[in-house]
Amino acid sequence: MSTKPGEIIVTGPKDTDEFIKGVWAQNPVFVQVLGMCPTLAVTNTASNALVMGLATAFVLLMSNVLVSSLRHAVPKQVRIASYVAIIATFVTAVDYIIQAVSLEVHKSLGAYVSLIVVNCLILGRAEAFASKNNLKRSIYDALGMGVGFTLALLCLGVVRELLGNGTFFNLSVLPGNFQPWVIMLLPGGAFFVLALWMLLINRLKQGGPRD
Amino acid sequence: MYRTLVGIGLICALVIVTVFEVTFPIIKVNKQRALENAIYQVLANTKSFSAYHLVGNNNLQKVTDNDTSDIYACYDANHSLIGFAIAAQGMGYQDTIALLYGYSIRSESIQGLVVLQSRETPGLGSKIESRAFLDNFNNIEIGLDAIDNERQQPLELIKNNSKTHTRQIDAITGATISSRAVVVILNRSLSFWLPIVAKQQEPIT
Repeated sequence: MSTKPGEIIVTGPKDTDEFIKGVWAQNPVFVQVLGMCPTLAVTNTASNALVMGLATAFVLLMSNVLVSSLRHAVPKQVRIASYVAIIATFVTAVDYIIQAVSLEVHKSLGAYVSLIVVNCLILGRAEAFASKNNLKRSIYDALGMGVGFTLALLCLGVVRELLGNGTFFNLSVLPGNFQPWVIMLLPGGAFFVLALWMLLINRLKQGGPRD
Repeated sequence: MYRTLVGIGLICALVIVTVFEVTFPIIKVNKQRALENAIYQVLANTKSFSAYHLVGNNNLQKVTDNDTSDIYACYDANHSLIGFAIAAQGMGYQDTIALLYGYSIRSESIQGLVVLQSRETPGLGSKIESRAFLDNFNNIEIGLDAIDNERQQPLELIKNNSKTHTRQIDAITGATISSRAVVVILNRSLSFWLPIVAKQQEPIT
């Protein structure tokens, strides 16, 4: 690694640590609380959450790859504009791909696919990580953050779908006399579920319940 | 600086064009299939259909582009006209509701309704897509010449399961606004299209 004056060199952690970091220690949803718009809006079913998470992860990966490869070529003054152009490109691509795979899924995600452009998680990783690190580390970082984001969305989606609709990935799993909690499918339910998950994860991080 | 921006622009354009070229034919097939499924659902026995649009003298004319059309003539296995599938949309509780309904000119009745797009409240307004509500729209007799002015409202929204006539539509409990939106959209569309279909001069083949 070439050293430039003023550059901060992180020594010690292995590249794979970047992956673990995104999934657990710095999980984008539960720890950094980034990207709340899709987290709250499209986690009403597990499958929506999964597609949204994967779409975001794909955009994150591709933009990190491009931003990291071009990091020496892009002048500082226009870096944000360049990142936004790169991110918007891959969001457009994802939008077409989802339409090609399934119109139904595209319909249920609605405007939120296009809104990945302004997901601060992606611009945040481009600016804070990919523009300062080499390609390999940026890929690990994007994979970690992407998987972390997808898992977090799934955590919300599974709970909301189960309680709000009595199903798990559209399969009926609860007994027929179960009365669905409609609130879980509404935006309010997303806040409740998110809060409970954050409570649980913060408890686990602190090493179990304290007296 | 400009060189970098132009370069990035070129890379981005290339990526978008490539993805578009690959996915466009698939998307087109998907859309066509979704439309076909919806049409076959609202008018049973349909074996083929073709898109029409309105031209200057209030006549219907065949078009080749399916995407922009609002009315589709449906034919049975013998290629004779059985009716029309008509797309209609309007404001719901949260966002636009897009509907497609089948009108049979043989029995002069609405045969069925599907919801193409809706973003109504999950669990309440979203029930406009449920079988129980959509079954209201099977076999509603409305004569082709029953409507002579745009103000007429062939369908009526009622509450509390007090349905006595096929033209009455049972509102969904807790989703009166969404139910009313569907009825309003249908009424507007019916009073617009039925007189046009009735006065159609050139035969539709």
